[in-house]
Amino acid sequence: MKDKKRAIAVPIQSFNKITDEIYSITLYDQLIAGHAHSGQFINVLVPRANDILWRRPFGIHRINADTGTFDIVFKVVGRGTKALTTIKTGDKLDIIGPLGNHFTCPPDINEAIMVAGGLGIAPFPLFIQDTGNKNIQYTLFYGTKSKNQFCSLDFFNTTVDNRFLATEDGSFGAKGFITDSLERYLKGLTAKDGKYIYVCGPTPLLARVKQLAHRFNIRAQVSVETMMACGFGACMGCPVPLEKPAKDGRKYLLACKDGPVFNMEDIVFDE
Amino acid sequence: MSNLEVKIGNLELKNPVTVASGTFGYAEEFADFFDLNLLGGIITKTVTLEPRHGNPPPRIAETSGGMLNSIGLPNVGVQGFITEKMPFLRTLKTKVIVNVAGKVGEEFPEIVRILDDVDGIHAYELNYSCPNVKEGGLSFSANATVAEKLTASVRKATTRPIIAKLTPNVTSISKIGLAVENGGADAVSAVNTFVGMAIDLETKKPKIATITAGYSGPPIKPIALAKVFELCQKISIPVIGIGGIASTTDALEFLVAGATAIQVGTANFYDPCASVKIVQGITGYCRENNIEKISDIIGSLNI
Ligand SMILES: Cc1cc2nc3c(=O)[nH]c(=O)nc-3n(C[C@H](O)[C@H](O)[C@H](O)COP(=O)(O)OP(=O)(O)OC[C@H]3O[C@@H](n4cnc5c(N)ncnc54)[C@H](O)[C@@H]3O)c2cc1C
Ligand SMILES: Cc1cc2nc3c(=O)[nH]c(=O)nc-3n(C[C@H](O)[C@H](O)[C@H](O)COP(=O)(O)O)c2cc1C
Ligand code: FES
Repeated sequence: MKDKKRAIAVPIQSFNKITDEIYSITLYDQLIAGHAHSGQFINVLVPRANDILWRRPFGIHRINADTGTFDIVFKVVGRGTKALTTIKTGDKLDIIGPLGNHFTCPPDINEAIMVAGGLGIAPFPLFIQDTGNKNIQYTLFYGTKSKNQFCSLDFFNTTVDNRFLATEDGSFGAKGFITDSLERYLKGLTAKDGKYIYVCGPTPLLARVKQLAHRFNIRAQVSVETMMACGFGACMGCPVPLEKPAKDGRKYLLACKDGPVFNMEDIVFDE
Repeated sequence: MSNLEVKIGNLELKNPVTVASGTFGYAEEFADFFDLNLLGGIITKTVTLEPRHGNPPPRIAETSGGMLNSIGLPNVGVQGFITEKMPFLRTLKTKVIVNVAGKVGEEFPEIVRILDDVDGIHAYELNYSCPNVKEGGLSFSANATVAEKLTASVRKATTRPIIAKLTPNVTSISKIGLAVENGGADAVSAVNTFVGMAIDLETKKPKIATITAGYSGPPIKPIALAKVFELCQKISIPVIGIGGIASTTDALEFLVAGATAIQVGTANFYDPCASVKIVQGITGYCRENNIEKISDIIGSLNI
């Protein structure tokens, strides 16, 4: 079913700094807490400062259906995310959402190989919450720049079966790119049936995972990030190029409306 | 209650607030947010003869308080528009204005002729002025003779009101305004986006794939207002004001400068209810100031 779009001011239940430059916000909204799926996002009207024009999109990280709340996590990378750090518990945040489509599990899935780079971790706790009732083995590949850039490791400690962590500076886990760990893992796999890759992160990581998925013949779903002026299909500013035209002839799909989740083999990454 | 009705040629709008082409999709994208029938009118995304894919990414960039876009008019083409977009638009109880553009001049009357057999369309806006289309776009409204001829050719193709949308990227916008008036346009709308540019210093690449792009949003309001004022002084057909309108005050300024109606554009992206808030705001303003009819405000600039 398609979500009804809405712009709504929701109470900020809590706001915390998790680690260097990374924050989490818990928002009260029963609709999102009850219905949202992994990969969907909200578009946030950040406090009006620094000549900001657009809203900023953030993936739904985790939900708590009992308390009617959900979390987003974000990293300060520019003026919008900087302005977002000025919010206070008890205030309200103006959001549009839930927006976009979500990750899906094929019926024959037996292992979900989740690959996250940096804040690309955002959709994965909800992915596990979404699919926890199925008999799936969860394998997590999670890479960041440095040891103080990880979030929600506690959650993954108790929910995933296999965990591979890497940092670019070697300060925690393996040194290097997380895709190197992924490559070693995929090489070692004997059976490929029922194994699916789910990936979210910076474009170079997505492009590398696309190569690996192709080489090892494993299907993958990807959540992409693009600039978004609206987030709900009005500006057409968020095109994602296709490998070959869609059934209706389109050369581009829209990240906010047709995505942000796509089948990896369908889309092209501009490196 | 004050009377907010305005007339654009023989097109009657229940209030002067409409939404700008390319910032409101085909209206359905906003239907969940508020009752679209509260608007004076809706202007569709540009429709072309053949379907278009649009430009490669990146198509948009945020600037200080504004934005650049080079979307490149992606759309399903006039036939697709009729079968896919019109059924919803026809259910609305507000005026539907279809924005059209041609690659070459002859395509304008051709598209209008095709649309003239379709009910539920109340007027056309001619996009003479998109700066983001290689094949011409700009040139149609950069040259007065071309603009006049083109308008005259569309005039012959329809009895529905036609609104010529003008680019501000010309030396004299009122010259073009006069030309389209002579060509038989019922109104002009101004302005389309200003040509602009932004560069990513880290990579030294332009932030938009087509290098230059269309600049819009709150920062262009004072410049747009001056263009609209100039047009209102020089031409006798109604002017629809566009450019950076984000609040009731912005909208009223355009009306005071002489615009008969206004279009809300970029503001729809961050506040999908921006247009309807302006309808409410103008209603409140008229009540508080005992203004009986909105036409009393239009052109009331005190100079
Ligand atoms: C569907 C979706 C879900 C997202 N989920 C999360 C999330 O859960 N947590 C999180 O921290 N971030 C997430 N992002 C990215 C986040 O939206 C951007 O980091 C944010 O908009 C940057 O705003 P800013 O004003 O701080 O940065 P700006 O000053 O606008 O830009 C700073 C840098 O970030 C890049 N950037 C800006 N906007 C985006 C964008 N939308 N996508 C990719 N790069 C961008 C710019 O190119 C620039 O290099 C998501 C993006 C999308 C599209
Ligand atoms: C993303 C975007 C897409 C646009 N697409 C069109 C279009 O298809 N046809 C058109 O005539 N104008 C188009 N415009 C121009 C607007 O209709 C309007 O003239 C301009 O943005 C100035 O108004 P604003 O500052 O309120 O946005 C577009 C503008 C933006 C920002
Ligand atoms: S962000 Fe506007 S259409 Fe996708």
